[in-house]
Amino acid sequence: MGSERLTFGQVMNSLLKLEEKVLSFYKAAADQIEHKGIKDLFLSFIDRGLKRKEILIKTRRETVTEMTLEPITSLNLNEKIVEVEKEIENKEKKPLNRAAEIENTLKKLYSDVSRKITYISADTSYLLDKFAREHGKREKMIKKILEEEYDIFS
Amino acid sequence: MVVLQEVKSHYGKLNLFIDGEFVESESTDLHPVMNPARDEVIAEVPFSTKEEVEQAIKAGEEAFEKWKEIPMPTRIQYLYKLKQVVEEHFEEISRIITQNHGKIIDESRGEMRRLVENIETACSIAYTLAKGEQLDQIASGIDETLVREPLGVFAVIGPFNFPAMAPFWFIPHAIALGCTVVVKPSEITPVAMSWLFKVMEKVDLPPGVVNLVHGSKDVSQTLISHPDIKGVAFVGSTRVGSQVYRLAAEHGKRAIVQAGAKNFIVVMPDANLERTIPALLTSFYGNTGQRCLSGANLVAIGGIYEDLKSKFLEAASKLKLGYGLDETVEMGPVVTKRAKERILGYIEKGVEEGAKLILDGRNTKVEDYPNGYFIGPNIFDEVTPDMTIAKEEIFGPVASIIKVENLDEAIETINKSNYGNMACIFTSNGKWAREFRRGVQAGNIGVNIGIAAPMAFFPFAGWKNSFFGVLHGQIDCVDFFTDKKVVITRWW
Repeated sequence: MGSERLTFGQVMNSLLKLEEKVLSFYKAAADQIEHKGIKDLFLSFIDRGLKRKEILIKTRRETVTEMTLEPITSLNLNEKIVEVEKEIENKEKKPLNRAAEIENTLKKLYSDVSRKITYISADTSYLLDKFAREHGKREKMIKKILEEEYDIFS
Repeated sequence: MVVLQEVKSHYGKLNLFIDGEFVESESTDLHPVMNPARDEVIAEVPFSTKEEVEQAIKAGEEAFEKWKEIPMPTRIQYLYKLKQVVEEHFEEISRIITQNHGKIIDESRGEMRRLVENIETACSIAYTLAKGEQLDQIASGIDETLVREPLGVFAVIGPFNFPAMAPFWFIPHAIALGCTVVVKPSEITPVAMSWLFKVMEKVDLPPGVVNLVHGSKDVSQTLISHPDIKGVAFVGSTRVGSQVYRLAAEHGKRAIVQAGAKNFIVVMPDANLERTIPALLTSFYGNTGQRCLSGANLVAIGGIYEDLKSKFLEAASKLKLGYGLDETVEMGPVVTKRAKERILGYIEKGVEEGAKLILDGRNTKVEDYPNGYFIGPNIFDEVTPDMTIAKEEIFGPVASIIKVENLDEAIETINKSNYGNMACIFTSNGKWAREFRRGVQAGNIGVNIGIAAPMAFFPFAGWKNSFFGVLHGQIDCVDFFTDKKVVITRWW
């Protein structure tokens, strides 16, 4: 068994806190950015983020099964969360570039957690995989904007 | 360390719920209700007077006459609403369970999930299993029909270890089938059920359909022996359960008595230990071992013994103890000081009888909760089946490793036990699993599962001294709460 041993509730709670931090980042970024298209995009992420928090709470409530409340190991969740936090705190990059990095890191994080949590809760795994795909799509959208409208930020 | 917020620090004197209203008990027999992690009083429970218990039964009896006439689709609507309000209060009730019982918050949430599952199941079985049967033309021009009719008021007596879920193995089924109930939760952990009644009040069930009294042995005896109580559903120890069963029989009542256990977990030489060890941790130490489906005896077969022992020991010794509202905690305290003393007594007994205590949790301290009723995980090695710790239910975080040569010997050892609640096997071999399933005398069988807890749409089985009666909890309740009427009809 790995050194990091987590309870199901701990994993879900950590993800909820992470969602909070990502929400705060997009709120702050949306306030800073004047470009309407990007502002709207970030605002849509905020709307979705609020909904995702509700879904995570609902999933925590509805999928907990005592038969499989086994310790979750080898997730290295805290390490992954620190990576996201570093991107959020990285003031050297512009918000859109930071957003692209954040989305990339979140995509990997959710995808990895989804794979490793399957044996505890297939429903949660499915949900987190869906979140990972959302981040993948967002990353692509942001990168496209960065490529097409680079002059806006230069 | 982040501790989730408690719903309240003190819940005051708990009320009774009789005939659709919360009423203050007139009893002067008050008992403190504790938070076992903090050793703090969080409520006072009044042991109901005989008159109060009789009022509750009378309310149930009067309500029954009207309730049974309510069409089933209408009765089910109340249960749909009940599910909805319970979901809305899911987290707060989970936290109350942890605060009063001590189990970790995930375990409380798991308990609540099972509770909801029972409401859902009651809705579905009422529409299907309760339908009855008909066969036309059993003789010329004659048809025969079987209908089920609800019986009346039932007593539901809950255990301390699943204070919310266990009574809900019965309550929603009784309601759905047209019966009424008087519920008596454990006097040690009554807060969650009291809170659930507050939540249930929002459903606006007709007065008297559900009633709540508090107390201990005397209250149970009054309930069971009362002529208007048609049956009793009980979950608790074998000692008390056998008394309940005898008393029910003496008074001609039907009874479901789910009782104690001494569960064996067999690990075969081909078991996948990487997956087995986490399952063993939850089996032996989940709910701090206070579960009728907890692993108690770990049976190692042949060559896996050393590897299993060292890996289980390593994993168990790292379990984090603390207050269950801290989500990083993996094991909470035991429920009372008395329970702690009893468990420590068993550990002493194990040492005296020659078992080797390779993990000693007796003096474990939890820094922030110095007064909590904590016992760390314990593992005994070199245990033989005739030792007290291998035979009697300890109901605490104590694992006993028994080494045997082969599966036949393991099955023989298991079948010598007086209990038969659960038996589990960890293996990669389907043939061994099948032999085990067919050979062991236990009601709930796990194959690569450490807690073989049947879902609400299966009966909660149990054999030997782990169960008294014919029908089990959960889905069997259709037969428990109803009687059959056979109608033979001819028209001319």
